[in-house]
Amino acid sequence: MDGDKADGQSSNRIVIDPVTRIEGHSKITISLGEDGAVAGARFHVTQFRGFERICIGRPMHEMPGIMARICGICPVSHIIASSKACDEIMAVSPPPVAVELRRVINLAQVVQSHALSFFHLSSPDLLFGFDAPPATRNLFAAAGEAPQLARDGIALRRFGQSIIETLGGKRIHPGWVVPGGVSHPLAASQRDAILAAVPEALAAIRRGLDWYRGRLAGFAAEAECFGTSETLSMGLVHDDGNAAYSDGDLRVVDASGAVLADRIDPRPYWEYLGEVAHPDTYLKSTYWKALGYPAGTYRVGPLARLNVVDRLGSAEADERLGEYRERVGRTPQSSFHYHEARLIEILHAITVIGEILASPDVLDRHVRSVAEVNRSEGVGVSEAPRGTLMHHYQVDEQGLVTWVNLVIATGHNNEAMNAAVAQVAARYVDADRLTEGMLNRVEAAIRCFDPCLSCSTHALGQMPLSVELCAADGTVLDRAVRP
Amino acid sequence: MSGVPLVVGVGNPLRGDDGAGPAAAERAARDPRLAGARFRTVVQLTPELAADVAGASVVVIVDARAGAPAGTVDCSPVDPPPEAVPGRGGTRASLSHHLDPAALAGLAGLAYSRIPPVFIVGIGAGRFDAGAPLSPAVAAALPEAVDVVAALVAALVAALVAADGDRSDTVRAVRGSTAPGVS
Repeated sequence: MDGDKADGQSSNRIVIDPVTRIEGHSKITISLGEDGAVAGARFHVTQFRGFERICIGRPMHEMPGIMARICGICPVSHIIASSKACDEIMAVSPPPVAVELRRVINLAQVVQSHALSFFHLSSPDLLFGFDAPPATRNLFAAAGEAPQLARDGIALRRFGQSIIETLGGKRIHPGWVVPGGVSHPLAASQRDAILAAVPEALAAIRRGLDWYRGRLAGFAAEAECFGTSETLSMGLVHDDGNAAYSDGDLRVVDASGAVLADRIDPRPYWEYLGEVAHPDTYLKSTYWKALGYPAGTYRVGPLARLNVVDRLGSAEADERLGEYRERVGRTPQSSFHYHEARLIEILHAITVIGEILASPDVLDRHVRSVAEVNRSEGVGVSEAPRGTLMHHYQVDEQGLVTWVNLVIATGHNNEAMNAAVAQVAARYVDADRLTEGMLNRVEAAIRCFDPCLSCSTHALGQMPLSVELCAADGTVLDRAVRP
Repeated sequence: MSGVPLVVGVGNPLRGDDGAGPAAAERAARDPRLAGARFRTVVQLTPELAADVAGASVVVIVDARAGAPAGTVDCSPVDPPPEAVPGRGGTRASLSHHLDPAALAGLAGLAYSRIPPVFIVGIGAGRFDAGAPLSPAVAAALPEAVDVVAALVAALVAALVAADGDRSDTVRAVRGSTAPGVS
């Protein structure tokens, strides 16, 4: 398929390969028609990990620990979704305080992951512009230009990571969240240490939000074309319509804001969501079944969550949300606004962490429900920083895993990412010329979604990015290599 | 002199001798010669450490060194990129969400306007197999590595107290205070 249009008509193509620097697992192909105009674009994930296979035969209780190893950025999300699937298999409800403590560690991950995405990876683009040379478009340069912004990003990452380390025992691949609840209660000293850090974290994100608002006017063109194709939005909400991250039910809205499905049980996801496998990528595309493929393309993550919720549920964040909606609309479709949505979510997450930990019940010592296997199947759903995450397991009578299906945020967003790349390419790619600004914007369109590959799609000046412009007969018309 | 000494052990304990840094740092944390120091063990150096680095009096990073004979111990100063030194201006391209020691020191200077003396203690590593323990040679070298860390911290703190920041003198002082193997 690579290099050919869907109808089989030959086309020129631009291949950005690899997009990644560390993982090296993705590339972007931009196909040009005979007229030189962009005919389509594909985001390919070229690595196969097989986590769904290596879990087969493992005891159910091991699953959260195994699943934590999927990712070094958002292991907490996988632990929570995995533990919730195990809750279902055991047919237990975690004690109320365990539910709240799971919320705390999940929100802490939202803070640290969003801070990494915005402050470390994306802020250099916003600080120096997409046409700036790579040598000046990185965190190092950003820290020299805007040290307070760098300090705030570091402070927010430390805030989230320190909570994860305090509760989970370590910053990466933590434990603590287990089937039935959490492994041990919160100590008063731990609570006090986290609460003491809340004011500084709030101050940091307020400065970050104000800084972003000040920069936004300079990126009106990008905000117009960074994936503005209309899609559905999906996310978890509570019964009152507030944002939910660790629990809640699904809501789906269309581009106009009309509600297509409201507060539906997310566990039988296969009834609503279809999957399409493509021959050129290991990343499947999901779609909303009721509208079919590709009309049922939807987005998840910060932008989509703000689109589906009535409100976030904390006063200051909702005030920011209201101002954001007044400016960009009730259900903005430009993926550029993922950035601001991410910052508003950080503010909300810090606030809620403080509210939960201020409750006297949070030190309750009954934090785990214990049971053996009582069902043969379980689904756990939560909101990861990048979007809705689903873990689905089947086990035998001994609790050994027989089947696993994982539906991850980057899969939910796959079709929308393809559309975003195509749209940016159509706006900025000149068939006869490859420019740094074009490459930067194509990568930045992907980075808006903050997929698990976003860290490596970030151009740090040393990313081995190569782009080839090929004629229909395979002749290389132009080549750009960034060492 | 502001702050306290910071010892950072870097590496993945699940990958054989790559865990030498964390193992040495954990051993150093129990050493009375290093009472009062702060200790961190990390899988990799990340930008978040810049705040700790900037707030420390001196920094010693302990890391496995591929290519060096297994069990050998060496130490060397870390020079941040000159562009990162506050007041000199300019930028450097290489920076990610994981850093090398020089970039970490540079980020501390850029974001916090302070770069304390930073040294790296390398432990020659022989194998990085998944799930493997430390090799016997590396495990046997941990006491020597802690000796080097303790001597470095003592010398660096003494130099700071004396307002003498010449790190070449510090290296010579450490060499003289430890057994052969410190290069």
